[in-house]
Amino acid sequence: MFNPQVFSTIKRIVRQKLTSTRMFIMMPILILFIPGMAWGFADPDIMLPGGVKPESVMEVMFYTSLGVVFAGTMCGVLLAFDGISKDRFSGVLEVKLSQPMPRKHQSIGIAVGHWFAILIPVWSLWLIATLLVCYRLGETIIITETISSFIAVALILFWYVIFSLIASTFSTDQGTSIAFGVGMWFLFTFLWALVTSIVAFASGVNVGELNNPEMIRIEGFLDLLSPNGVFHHLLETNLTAIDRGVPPIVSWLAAAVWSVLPWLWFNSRMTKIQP
Amino acid sequence: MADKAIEIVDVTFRHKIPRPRFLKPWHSVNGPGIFGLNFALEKGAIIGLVGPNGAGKTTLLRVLAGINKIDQGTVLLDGTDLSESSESLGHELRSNVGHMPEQVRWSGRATVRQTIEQFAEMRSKTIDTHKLLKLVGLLSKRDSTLDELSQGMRQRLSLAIALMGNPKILLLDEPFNGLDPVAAKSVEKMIKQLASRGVAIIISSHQVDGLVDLIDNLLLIHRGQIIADGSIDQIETILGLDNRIELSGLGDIPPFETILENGVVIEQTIEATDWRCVIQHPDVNLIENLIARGHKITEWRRKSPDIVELLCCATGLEIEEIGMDIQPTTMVPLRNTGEEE
Repeated sequence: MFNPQVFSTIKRIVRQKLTSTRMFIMMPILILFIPGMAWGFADPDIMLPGGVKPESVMEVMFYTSLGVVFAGTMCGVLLAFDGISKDRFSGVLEVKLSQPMPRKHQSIGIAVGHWFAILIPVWSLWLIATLLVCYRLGETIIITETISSFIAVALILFWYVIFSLIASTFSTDQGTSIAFGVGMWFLFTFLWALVTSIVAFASGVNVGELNNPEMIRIEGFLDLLSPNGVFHHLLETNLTAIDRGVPPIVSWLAAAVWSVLPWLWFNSRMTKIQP
Repeated sequence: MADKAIEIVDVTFRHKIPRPRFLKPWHSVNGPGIFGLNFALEKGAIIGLVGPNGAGKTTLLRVLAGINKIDQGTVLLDGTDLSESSESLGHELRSNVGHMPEQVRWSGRATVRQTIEQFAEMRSKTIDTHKLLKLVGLLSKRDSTLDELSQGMRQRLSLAIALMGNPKILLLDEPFNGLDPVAAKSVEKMIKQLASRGVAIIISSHQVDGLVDLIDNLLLIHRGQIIADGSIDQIETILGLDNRIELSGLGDIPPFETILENGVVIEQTIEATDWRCVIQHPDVNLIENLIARGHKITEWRRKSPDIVELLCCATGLEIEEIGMDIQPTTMVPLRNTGEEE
């Protein structure tokens, strides 16, 4: 299973991306959005809109996950958008494809390398955020819940990275791939609420009513069709207070589908790609 | 008979051109490529691959480098047929062939040495980086970043990577681009040395003048088909461009139409005091005949066509067409397989 060629590709990409100028620009944003948000949401006097007051570590981390959705995924897109297209544009891809290392191994190395490059800083900050919340709330970590939140964070970053890389295999210029990555991020981060509202309205649900059970059910279902939604479903498995009518097994199945299908698509693109 | 490093038989590869439809956005059709190519490359031979823009030179090199999977045909590497499995064919080609693509724009903060090591890892080989960089003249730049390299140095880096793992076959796409004359000479010398060690080399180059002294054989390619293959002398004979002399003289140009029994004047220049002409298939006693008639001949020599002339003759294109645009009036038809193109 362990392949030294794949491992060295991963190591090289991670090292290259972690020391890149982009990462230096993105780190302050990530720090502000992940531990920063966690610190704020863990404030004992905080009162969120709707009179919500997060009380447990996982509840605070659930709200902190917005930092991952807004900053982590965007940074993932910005790291991976030129993962293939830059090499293709410069002619380096042709040199790489003419090496004996199988394309399948190259694609594993590229995907995992880019994923780890964003996962390492985000996981580190997520851990810091969790410890900060525990400190402020005076609670201890529940290992199983924490592990599942880490897995959810890893998965959402993987989905965005892999979609950006797929876009990168199609594009012949940098503009197209970044437009695709940012466009996808924009759709699922901002426009999905609009899509949900339209579907709910078309189904005869009063979209203005926040606690309408029908609206919550439709939202819960439509969220399975969005990576951000699945991410929140996964985090919600740790929160007994929230029930949107989607069983945890369905959330994990959706996560598996969101992981496997793009992965297969990326692999197939890499097998057929022309320099 | 010399050993064949690689032989391709009836090899076809066609690019897929996207033609999205409303209900089938991924739909594509067969586009240009290479068609039923046959040729053999002997160990230690240097072949010049020449053709107009879009002829299929780079496609052919990519097929030989194991990048493009062939649609049909047979590839024999060292006499072994590898066409049964496209996976093993690709892997064997990539393991045995060193490929230097045209104009790779190496960039980034990695050093030359790190880049070499990266590709060595991709080949699962331990490479003597020092020796390799010395061979291509990049030793002094081993710790320079890729961003600091000039175009010529980037070419040398591409060459170093192509030479990794002692390939049996070396494919060089425009290897002299961006090289200064001294560096170009040194690359030429290195190519000859590699060939003398048995490495089979294919050079695709637009700098055709430089190729004449370097190559053993020429492969003329046009519209994805080989239109001539052999030594320059053989191709000259096949195309009827052999047996030509260039004559220069003083005074009035001789009336060749009455003097020549068999030959044909194919080119002539008349100046105020002298003249020059090229005659194909001249009579055996032409010079004596001209002198006997009182014409002052200052120079005569065998006229060999250059590669551009061979290419023009073989493709039926004018020089301007070869250099600028491909006209539809060429001799070789665009092959198709009868299906949607």
